[in-house]
Amino acid sequence: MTAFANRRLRVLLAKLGMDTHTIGVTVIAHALRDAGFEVIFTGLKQTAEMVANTAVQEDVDVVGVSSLSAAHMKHLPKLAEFLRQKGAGDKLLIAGGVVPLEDIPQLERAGVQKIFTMGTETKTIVDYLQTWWAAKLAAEQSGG
Amino acid sequence: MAIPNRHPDNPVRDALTPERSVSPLTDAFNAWQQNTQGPEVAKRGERQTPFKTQALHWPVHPLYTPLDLEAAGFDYQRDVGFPGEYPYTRSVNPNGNRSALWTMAQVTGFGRGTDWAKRARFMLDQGLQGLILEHDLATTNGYDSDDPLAEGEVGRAGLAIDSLEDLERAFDLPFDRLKYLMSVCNAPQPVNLAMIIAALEAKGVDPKQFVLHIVNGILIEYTCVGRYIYPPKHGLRIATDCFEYMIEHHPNWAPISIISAQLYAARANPVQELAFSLSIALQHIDALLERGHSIDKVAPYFHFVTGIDMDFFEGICKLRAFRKIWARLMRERYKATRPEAMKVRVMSSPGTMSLTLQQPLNNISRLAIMATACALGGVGETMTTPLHDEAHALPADEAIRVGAAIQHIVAHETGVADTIDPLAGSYYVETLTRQIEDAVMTEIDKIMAMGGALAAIERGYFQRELAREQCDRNRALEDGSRKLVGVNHLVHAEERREIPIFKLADEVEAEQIERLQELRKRRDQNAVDVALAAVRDAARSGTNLVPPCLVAVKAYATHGEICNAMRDVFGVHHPDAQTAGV
Amino acid sequence: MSQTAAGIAAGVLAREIGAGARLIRWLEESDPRGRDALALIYPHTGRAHLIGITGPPGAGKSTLTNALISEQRKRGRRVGVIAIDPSSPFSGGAVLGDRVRMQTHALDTDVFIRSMGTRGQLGGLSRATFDAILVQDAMGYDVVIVETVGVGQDELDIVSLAHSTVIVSVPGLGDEVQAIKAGLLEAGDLFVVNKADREGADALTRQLELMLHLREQTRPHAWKPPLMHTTALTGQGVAALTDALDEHLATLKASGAFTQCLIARNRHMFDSLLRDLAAQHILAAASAQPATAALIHAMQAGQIDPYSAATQLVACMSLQFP
Repeated sequence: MTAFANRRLRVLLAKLGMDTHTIGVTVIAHALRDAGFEVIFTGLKQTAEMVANTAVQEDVDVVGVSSLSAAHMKHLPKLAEFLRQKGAGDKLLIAGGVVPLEDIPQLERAGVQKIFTMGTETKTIVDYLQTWWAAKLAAEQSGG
Repeated sequence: MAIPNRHPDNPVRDALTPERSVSPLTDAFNAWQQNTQGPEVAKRGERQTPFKTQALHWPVHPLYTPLDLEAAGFDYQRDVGFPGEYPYTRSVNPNGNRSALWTMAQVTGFGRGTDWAKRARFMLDQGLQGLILEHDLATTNGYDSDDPLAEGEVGRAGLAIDSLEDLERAFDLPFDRLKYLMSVCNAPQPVNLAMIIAALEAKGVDPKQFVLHIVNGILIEYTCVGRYIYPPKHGLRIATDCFEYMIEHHPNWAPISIISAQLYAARANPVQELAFSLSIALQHIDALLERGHSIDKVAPYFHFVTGIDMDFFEGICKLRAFRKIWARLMRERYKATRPEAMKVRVMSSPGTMSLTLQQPLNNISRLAIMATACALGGVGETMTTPLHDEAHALPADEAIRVGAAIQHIVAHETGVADTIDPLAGSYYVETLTRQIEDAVMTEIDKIMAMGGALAAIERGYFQRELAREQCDRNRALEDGSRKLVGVNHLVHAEERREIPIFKLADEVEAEQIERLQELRKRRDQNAVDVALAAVRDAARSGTNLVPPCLVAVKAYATHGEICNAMRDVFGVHHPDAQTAGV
Repeated sequence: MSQTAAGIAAGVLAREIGAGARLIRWLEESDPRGRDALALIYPHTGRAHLIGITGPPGAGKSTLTNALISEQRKRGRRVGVIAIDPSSPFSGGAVLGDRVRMQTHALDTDVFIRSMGTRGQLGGLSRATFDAILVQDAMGYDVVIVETVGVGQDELDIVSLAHSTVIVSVPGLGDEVQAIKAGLLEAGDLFVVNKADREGADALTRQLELMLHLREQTRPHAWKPPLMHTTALTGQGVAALTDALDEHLATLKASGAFTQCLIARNRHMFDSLLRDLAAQHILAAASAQPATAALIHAMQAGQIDPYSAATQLVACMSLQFP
């Protein structure tokens, strides 16, 4: 345990394209901070490549995209591809917001690992990340 | 003026005639609490401790009586008055909705010009007389459809406009049936306004035959939603240019609207909503006064879009307080003398923030309740209904039909619009109206002490306050202290989609881009370059931006190109996390 | 990407941003691999011009940093940035948003921006920051900018130990000059009035001039700190500020103070590490000492005060203290 005493989950929260609604990302940012995570916010009007570069520079564990416009089917697969290209394919890519259920399988195939639809409670997201993080730490410990 | 006294036994009279002694009432009230209510509470308890209003979290007492009005120093003539008379609490219209109902409008916008025209005709066929034109995000943010950032957004959340040609296609409408057109596109306003003027000209429509209403209250965008382009002070200058141009050339049009509703959708409580949007209006007014206009000339043009969410009484009292505060600000702060300057112009509508993705049909009942509350609070000139499937995707035809029907049901079947301000005199409603008024005035003073709305925005004050409300409201939903049916109450184990979803054809984007690029090839590039240089010059020199934009759109400079010309001069607004509220 | 110390160190020296970011993370989280990799890259450090930027919230530090990045890039230099934001004292988490204003550089591969939370470990912040600076330095960034609110001893240490310390203030925050703490005034090499187009800029300038005059009178410095005016949003004054920074750098190099800065930073790190190691050893020894439990028990029962208890325990462990 001492090996991980200083470890802290780092999450990049991003808004892609023209979608400028920030309520979702604000609420999530605060909830993640209150759960003890370090949240890095990209700001608005980002391209997929900008977000991927930022994820690399910040060495985050998780990239979370808030999407409240219709462009998720364009942006998210592109972001997954940029992350892979830049050697950051190991980062957990998740998204939340207005994503119709029928779009989810295609996004999952493109590399988005989890999609939280509208109305998901923040504690569901925090729990999900905590579980994922614990598993990652355990795997690192047993592997190395 | 004598107090109407048709029912001498009605206890309301106690409230309305403060000279009558109320001490026997105090005794009676205390006796009721002790002997009648007290034992009941002792026996059965209360289902909530304490009861609080939905958004403001103010305590709600078990009973309101004339004593509450007395405690607040309530004075009927001063605080409420008569419809069409200062302070307009009851209505700005002398006969309320008895001469005419409010204009029933609905938002529409998606796809290409032709798609929009078709949908707009459908809406007019449903008995709507006003349309609200929403542009897609690329247009609203000042980009052309072929900008990389626009990918996936073209025609999605609204109409895609790249050039005058797009708007000409969209304006293939029966303008004789349209009383009112509102354009929501805000940050690129001089371009948007120029496009509309030029398109009407091309269609041979007389601009006097209907009201064009541009939103133009740009400062609100910096507090939430974020559809801004330039730094706030340049945004304010642009808005002031458009306002000036319109009152000079099209005095029957509506040159500004402060979308207060945007604030409450961003979880502002009623006090914040009014204080923020009013202080923003004051900032716009100050900018106009600085240019030498008089308050009596500009104030009558100010218009607000607000609405009521599920907090029924807070919403009704908010609308009543809104009218009074505006009147007071105009008279007390600016020394306005024309009644028109003191009558606030409002469009109100049911809110979207309580509409749920889950169990979407429930939203129809929510919309009906909120629309009723709007009518009880005195709607204003126009009402628009959001649609019950909004949370899912772009609205389907059926949702539009139901949305329109809701307004007609409220107007014709309930009778709530048949007498003016029917809840006035309610001990609770008058108490809450007064509490909201006092709290809003205090908050406005606080904002003024910061240097006004522009300074407060630059410092991130509004943004941080809203972020806090957003987090608080979310927490209340998650810990169950606020109940939302379908979300944290009466949740069904299995969610089934129950409504048809409208899908936009995928080829729209490609087609729009193709048409834009083809236009760039065939237009007179030299004329475009000259026109864009003139836009830059005007931006730099401070002369009105609308005339050079009008020349540019007619030369088929594109929407994004003209916005870029202004970006060259004004720069671009990049908020940090603080001033974005995150 | 190899996850061994040698692999990451090689990546850092090959200027791979992913490797640099990973090493900073290791160092920030006390991963033992971080120490090993740092030893490998250390010989390649000591070249970057370290610029500390501080000032009160709302002074426009991030906007100024962003403008400085643009100007340094125009001059052909590669730029590293460490942007520090406070962590929540309750959860230890943080929302780091400084880089929002710098995202225009997100596609520039010669700019590496890393956000850091204060995390609240005593002495940990300045160490983690200096570590991150070493990493960016080894990656060949010509300029490394550290941006911080300048509250607390750790942050004061960070900016004071930079080659060039820029103190940013802004008109309209109220008590502008009071917001510059005494230590910062002393540490400042360049003073900037940002948002200089705002009302109150002249008054602020006069106050700062007076303070700098007093500073010179009480303690003359070899370098006379210039007072600059910028409007970071439009980039106005930023070229002049960069000129002044270049001039300051040249002065430092000519006088040998450039190297002195690194030596001072190393000494600071050494002291801080020693304190930590000493504390670790003593705490480990104490927990192994049978007397510890008895003393704590006695203290809880109110039989002994904490001072006497600690002194007695140290005596049991036969450690010598003056």
